[in-house]
Amino acid sequence: MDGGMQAPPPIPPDTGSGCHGGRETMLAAAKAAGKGETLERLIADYPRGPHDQPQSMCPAFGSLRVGLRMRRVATILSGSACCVYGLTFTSRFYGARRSVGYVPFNSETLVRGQLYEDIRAAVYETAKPADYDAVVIINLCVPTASGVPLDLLPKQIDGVRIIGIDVPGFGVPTHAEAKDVLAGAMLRAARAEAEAGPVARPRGPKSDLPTVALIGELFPADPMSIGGLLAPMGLAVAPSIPAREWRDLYGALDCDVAAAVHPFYIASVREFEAAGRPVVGSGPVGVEGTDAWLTAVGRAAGLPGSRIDAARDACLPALRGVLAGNRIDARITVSGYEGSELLVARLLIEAGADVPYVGTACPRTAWNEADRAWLADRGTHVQFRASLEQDLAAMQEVKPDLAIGTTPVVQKAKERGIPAVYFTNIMSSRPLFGIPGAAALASSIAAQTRGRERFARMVSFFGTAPEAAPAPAVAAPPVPINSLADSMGS
Amino acid sequence: MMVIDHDRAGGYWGAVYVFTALRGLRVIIDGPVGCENLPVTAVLHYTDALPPHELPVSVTGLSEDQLSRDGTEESMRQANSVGDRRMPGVVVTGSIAEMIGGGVTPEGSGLLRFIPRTIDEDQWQCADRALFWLYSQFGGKKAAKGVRITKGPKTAVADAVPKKPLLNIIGAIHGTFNMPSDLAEIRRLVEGIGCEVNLVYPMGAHLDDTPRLADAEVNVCLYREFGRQLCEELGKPYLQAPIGLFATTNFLRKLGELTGVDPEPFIEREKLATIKPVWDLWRSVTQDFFATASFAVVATATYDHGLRQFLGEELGIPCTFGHSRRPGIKPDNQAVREALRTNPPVVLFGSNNERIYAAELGLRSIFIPASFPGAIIRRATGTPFMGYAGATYLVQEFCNALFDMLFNMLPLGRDLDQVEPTLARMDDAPPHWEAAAKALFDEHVEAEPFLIRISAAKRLRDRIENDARREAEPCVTAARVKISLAAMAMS
Repeated sequence: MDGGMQAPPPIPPDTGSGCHGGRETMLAAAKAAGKGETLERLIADYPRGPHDQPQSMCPAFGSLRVGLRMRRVATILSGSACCVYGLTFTSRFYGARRSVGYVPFNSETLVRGQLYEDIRAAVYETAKPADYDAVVIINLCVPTASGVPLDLLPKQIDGVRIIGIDVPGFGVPTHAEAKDVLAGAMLRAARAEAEAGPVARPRGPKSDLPTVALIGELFPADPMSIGGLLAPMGLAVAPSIPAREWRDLYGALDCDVAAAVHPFYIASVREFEAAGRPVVGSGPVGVEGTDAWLTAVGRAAGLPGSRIDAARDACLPALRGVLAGNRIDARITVSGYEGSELLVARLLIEAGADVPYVGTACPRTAWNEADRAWLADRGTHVQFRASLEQDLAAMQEVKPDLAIGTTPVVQKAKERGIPAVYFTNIMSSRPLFGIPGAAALASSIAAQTRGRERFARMVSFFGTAPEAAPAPAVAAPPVPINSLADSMGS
Repeated sequence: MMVIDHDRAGGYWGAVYVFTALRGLRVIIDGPVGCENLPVTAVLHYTDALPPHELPVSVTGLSEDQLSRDGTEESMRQANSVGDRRMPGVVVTGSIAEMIGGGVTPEGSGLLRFIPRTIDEDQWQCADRALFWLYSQFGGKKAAKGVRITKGPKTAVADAVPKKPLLNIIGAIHGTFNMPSDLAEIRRLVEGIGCEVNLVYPMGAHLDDTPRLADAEVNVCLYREFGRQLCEELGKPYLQAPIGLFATTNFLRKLGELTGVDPEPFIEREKLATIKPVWDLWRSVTQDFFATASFAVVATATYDHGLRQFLGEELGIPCTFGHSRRPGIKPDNQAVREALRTNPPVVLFGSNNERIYAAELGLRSIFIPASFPGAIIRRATGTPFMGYAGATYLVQEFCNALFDMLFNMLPLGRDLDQVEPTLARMDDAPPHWEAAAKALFDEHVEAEPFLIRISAAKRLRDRIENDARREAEPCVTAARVKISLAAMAMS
């Protein structure tokens, strides 16, 4: 069993449809079978929405956020003003309090090729070694489609690296995968530097232990918890990807094993593989997930079974105890676009929750295959590249005690009196792995589901919101303004 | 040319914010999913408190396939298949759809098309055109002929109840800082002097109301950034909504002139009510600081102009600098940053951009939100900048900012007290020391290093005597010395 998760099944062809196929395939399959589970049928038969794309923020946001969160990195957007304004606006909420550069264009400068010259000037203006280690320049839809050649930019200016990437909203399906576009581009540049000669050591005490590089934007305490899980087998965590600082990229590449905890970092994984690092999927969630993950990591690191067992013995009994002491007795649907949806569902189920449906905007990959299989074994419907309509259909069919979802799913659930939380705000901002993940989950879910009466009272007060009726943004009666004026009688 | 921290969206956002403010009109955005997510789901939540699917907006969700192979028409057909199809729909193009010539409406779809020119225009230029476009599309024949439906055949009843002059308020759209408060205040003012609001447009009006725009005899244009083109087209006198005490009074008097109502009784009542606090604060000692406590403003042209007029001109508060966000002109935020560095104001009116710059510079300026961009919901109607209520709100907030500044400047008692004690000598005669106690004391003092022996002896004696007094012991005993020494060793 030397292969295990080291040699995962090949990544399924990216048809954008995932394990349950496209709408047509699924409809055909359902017809052929003549029967099937209600939910399967429903998802296949989902009412068609305005489009068939998975839910996501504007994908470019993923790249922007990764750049803004890094130390000594400047980010410049090349795109139309709508995109730049919206992305900058949102970055002040989910990114950093940091200036975002913008190279404007109009239809004339675009056609004349002036935009590239302007970008080049902006890059030179920004790339000051006193301020930055790298300047990221992101082509949004229009410059990408116009072929603005960022690859012609200098690779570095006075030691400041220039990282140009194309992140068109029409080409990158989700903002999660856009994080990988930038992380992968940075890893590629860092790998070339490391291969060419000595590079800076990451900050912090030097450890001689072999390391595991975690891939995915994790809750800040999670790498520490994972470090605790790995310690008994003599492994430590390397800096995570996306990196917090340029030199961390070297530290990550210098790992012995890369762990694709978030399963969509395809370009980043490619760089680790090119650097000769084995890659394992899934993550240490719950008892079974932690057991399998530690085993896979240990094997990938070439450790003897005794060392792996030491790590398993050190944490599994405690995890079992914590999960037993923090049971979740609730039916929950999970949908999101962060990429950790399957891991969250696994933990929920191990804690006792009934999770009939998991929708993720991300694709099926080799790195979430173990999670998909585990969930499928427990009767959970896993929908990759889930559209809003699929998520909504599941939520309405399941009538969960708590809907963990995207913003429109949350809105719809609350309108029906179902307690609901936004995956991105609530699930991504808490520990997921090891003892802290297991311990915090139950109380958090209990706090969210407790409010059912309040949700019901609100619904009975406001009534069901009429579908698709725009609400005036002012506190005024919705109908005839004139009659309002009349009734005020001034 | 590089801009930092761009401060306004491109064209189609303005169009979307205009069209979705109306009832009875669907909006289809031609573009990738992000073209809906950013302006509507994401930003309108942080500015207008709207949940993601509150507005009848759908998006075609263009992907690589449509761009390179399939074209956009089928996507348009699918996007048009949701929602209430009896409602008219308008298609707007995001930038990539605009570039590839998207936004094409399928034959027989009943969809209208508005061209936002999103690559070349900003949200305000486009909002201005979109407002005009609505009237040109839906204003109807009545508008063209200038027929006023309220002037029908006169009846006895109509004669008996004199009609109030009708007036439109134009420019209330989504994604506009503080709009609900300003709108409520303008409505209160015009109704206060005896006019009647014919239409607030487009917010809350129905598409079918559009022809009725022609019925008003005066229009109020809420903003300088957009709305004027429609006001011009309506061919009636229009006034810009006022910011400031005297600006508002002028506005009311002009409105009275145009409509024939007498605004003076209302103005007199307001002096004793809404704007009494302005008079009160003007006569207060806090006003003393007005001449020296500076302010700066970075906001839309409407707010920048209004704040400088009111605080600067009317109240005499020095303005260190003002930057206007003007339609069609790219912002120079490096200049704003530099102005903040060289000339920091006491009170800073602005957006999150200026707030970040002030934080970077470590400024003590008190920040008052006055503009987007920034996550700030202003749906409650109690924060107007416009009108009399706005004058009161602004003076109040300026004074509160001064109080805040003072609060931050006042020394914190806990910090003040971190200093060597200077205690008074105890007045009462020192208690009597028993011999054994004295011996024990001397023995302990001997053990102290010579250098500090005097102060150690004094500290020790004070402590022991204080302890003895507190416990009401008639004299200092050896037992007392032991207890106090032990206590001191512990602490």
